Amino acid sequence: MNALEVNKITKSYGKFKVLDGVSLKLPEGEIFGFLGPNGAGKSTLIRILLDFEKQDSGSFSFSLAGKKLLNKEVKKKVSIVPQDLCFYLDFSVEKNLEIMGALYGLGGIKLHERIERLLETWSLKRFRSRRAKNLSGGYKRLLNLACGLINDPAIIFLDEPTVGLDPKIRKTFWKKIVQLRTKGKTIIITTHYMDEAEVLCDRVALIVKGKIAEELSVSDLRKNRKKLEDLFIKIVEEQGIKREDI
Amino acid sequence: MKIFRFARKEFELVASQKTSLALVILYPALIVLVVALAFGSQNVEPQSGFERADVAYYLPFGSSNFDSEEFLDHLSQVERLRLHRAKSPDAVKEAIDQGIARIGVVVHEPTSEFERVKISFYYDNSAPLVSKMVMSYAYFSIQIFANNKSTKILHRIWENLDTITKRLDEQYAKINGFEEGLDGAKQRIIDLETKINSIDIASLKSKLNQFNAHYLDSKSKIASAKEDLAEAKTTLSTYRAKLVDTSLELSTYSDTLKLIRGDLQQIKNASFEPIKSQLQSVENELTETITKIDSSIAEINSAINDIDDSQQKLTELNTELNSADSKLDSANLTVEEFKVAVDDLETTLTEVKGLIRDSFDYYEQTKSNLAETKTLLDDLTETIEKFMFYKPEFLVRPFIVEENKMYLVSEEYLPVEKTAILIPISLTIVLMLTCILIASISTIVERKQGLNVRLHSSPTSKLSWVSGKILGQIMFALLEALIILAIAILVFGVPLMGSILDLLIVLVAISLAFISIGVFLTGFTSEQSTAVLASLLIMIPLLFLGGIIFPIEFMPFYVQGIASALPLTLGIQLLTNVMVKGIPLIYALDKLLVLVVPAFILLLVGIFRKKI
Repeated sequence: MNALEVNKITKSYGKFKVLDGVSLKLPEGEIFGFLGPNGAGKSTLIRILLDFEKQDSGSFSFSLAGKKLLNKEVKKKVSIVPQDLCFYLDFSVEKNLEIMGALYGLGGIKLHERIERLLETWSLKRFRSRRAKNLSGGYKRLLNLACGLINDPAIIFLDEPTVGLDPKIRKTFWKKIVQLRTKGKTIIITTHYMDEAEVLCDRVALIVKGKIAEELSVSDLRKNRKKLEDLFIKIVEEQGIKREDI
Repeated sequence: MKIFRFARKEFELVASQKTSLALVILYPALIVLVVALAFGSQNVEPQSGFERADVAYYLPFGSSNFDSEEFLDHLSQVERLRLHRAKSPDAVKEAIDQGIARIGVVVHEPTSEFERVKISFYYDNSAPLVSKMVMSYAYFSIQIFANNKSTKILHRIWENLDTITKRLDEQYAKINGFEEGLDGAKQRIIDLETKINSIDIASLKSKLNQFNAHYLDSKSKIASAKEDLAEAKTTLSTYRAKLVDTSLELSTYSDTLKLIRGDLQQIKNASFEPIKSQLQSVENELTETITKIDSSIAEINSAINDIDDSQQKLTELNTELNSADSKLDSANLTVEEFKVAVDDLETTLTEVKGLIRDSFDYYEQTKSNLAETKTLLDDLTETIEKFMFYKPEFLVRPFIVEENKMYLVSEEYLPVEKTAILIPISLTIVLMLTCILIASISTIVERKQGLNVRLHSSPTSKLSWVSGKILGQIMFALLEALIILAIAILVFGVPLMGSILDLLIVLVAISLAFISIGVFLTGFTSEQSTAVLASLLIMIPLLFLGGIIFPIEFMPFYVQGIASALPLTLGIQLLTNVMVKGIPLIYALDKLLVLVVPAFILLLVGIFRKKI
């Protein structure tokens, strides 16, 4: 059963075609990676899927347990963890989580329990009263993630979740994301880190010049003892993009 | 040299921020434009610098000494006053309360003091500078009207005096005519008098009296003589008859005696002697007696004859008397003379009668003319009395002006009046600064911190999100207002004339209006600094056109409309209404709507202008 089906989505800014007939099927409970060079159209695709922008043509739909989600349900069940930090720097960790919960209509004991769980899960408990701006870069990222999970979403978009983090914290992050998959969440990750994609993703799609250049299973790649990075560079260069422009 | 390179870098950096650059260029242009709009009025005289001001008025039409229509005509022609007619003095005050008029003019019925018209000015002391200026301008206009009115009255008096002089000249001419007529009448009377004088009435009277006396005397004498004659004649006739009788008796006696004597003689002859002698003696005596009787008879007869003669003479005398009587009649000739004289007199009297008739006619004519003159003089007196109605004091100052401030009238408010007026202004300015900046900066901060992404990906609608934001900002603004009000009331003792509920509603409306501007600006800006610049771009015109630096009435007419609808202007007016004027908010719902409705439009534009 697919959590997301994308059907021939196109999008242009003026004469520049950003997305050119992108079609995808994302099975439920998988971690799916969007890979591609800068300006390939990854972010635009996510923006369209999250209703921040409208596609020129094509369609997409979210489903859960084989049931297509309505727009209202999409907002409740689909969440994004943006690349940029999206929370109030001057509010405490807990206050930020409370505000995010309010956005999903959560309150009272239910919200409190969920906040406690998130603080526990994402190692933020000891910083609960600390102002967000006073957190270290890694914990800011964790808070950013926790904020995106306040509604307990079934489908999660993670936009460059570990960018700027040191290798140790990245690995911690990976563990936690894998934990999410074990809870049955469908996760869509955009990343530039090929190792990250190899570790986390079940499947990846390489987007080049607004098209799906390659869609493959990471386990198949491993079986063939191939490196995702090499494949990525090869495909990109085949599309006439120089290595230094990736 | 490094400094110049850094300077160039800075310049290029500033220039690279297109919105900031646009604002930097727009700012001076805007300030020049706003200043030109606000201060560009041609009228900059200190006494009447305002361009157009609203005045509510009440005029009691039909006032005896006051031409209301004329007054109204005059006022309506005063260029800078826009008039609003009120049905009662209270309606004038209401117009000021509602901000329709800055000042009110109530004209009262003329007072007992020289029939002066009392004019009550009511001015909005919540805006003392402009109100007093408009009031002094209106007063000046009324004074011009008063002067014009006095001049007109004096002109009318002058014209009437001219007419009066002409008519008096005419009457003078008429009176001259009367004089000539009277002189003519006098001459005729003098002529008549001469004629009458020429009649010698005394002579006539004397003659008449003489004649009359003479005539009466003569007549009397003649009558007396005639009576005497008749008496004498009667007496003579009686004597004569007596004499005749006596004579006859005597004759009888004589005859008897003679018979006796004859008898005696016979007796004697037959008698003897002694007797004879005796008889003879008797006979002699008898003869002697007879002789005596006869002699007496003869004498009587002679006397009768004398009487007859006398009678004859009396007859003659009577004839003479009759002759005299005739002569008296001849005196009628003199009477004829009188008749002639009387005829003359009659002629004269006819003339006199004619003259009297003429005089009567002339009298009637003169009387009629005099009646005309009297009517004229009555008219003139009436005209003069009419003018005397206008006492010199009235002409010099036909109006008594009384100034009344509308608000904070009680003595106890006098020390805090100015502060009380300034509090709504300063409070609105503070709310403007706070709300616009808070709203714009807060929205930009949220946007910069990616909260819009969170919002958009959540089921929460943007409207409820923004409503919550606005509510929070309003609460913040209210807290700020509360602090200012607490200082104003507790420290300065400024009174709150309206209700607290109204104050709260107004504060919320003002906050909402300014927050909406802030939110609106965020629809067009992405950076905090740009939002601040854009906020200033809005706030500067609001300050210039809000009537704080420069009263709205001083601005050109078309700018006044814009200035009156600006949120700062409306905010100050509404807050002043509640705090200073004590006017229930229900009377300023229109202003509240003008404040709030565009705020919602701005909010909607600001909210939906940028999707994320």
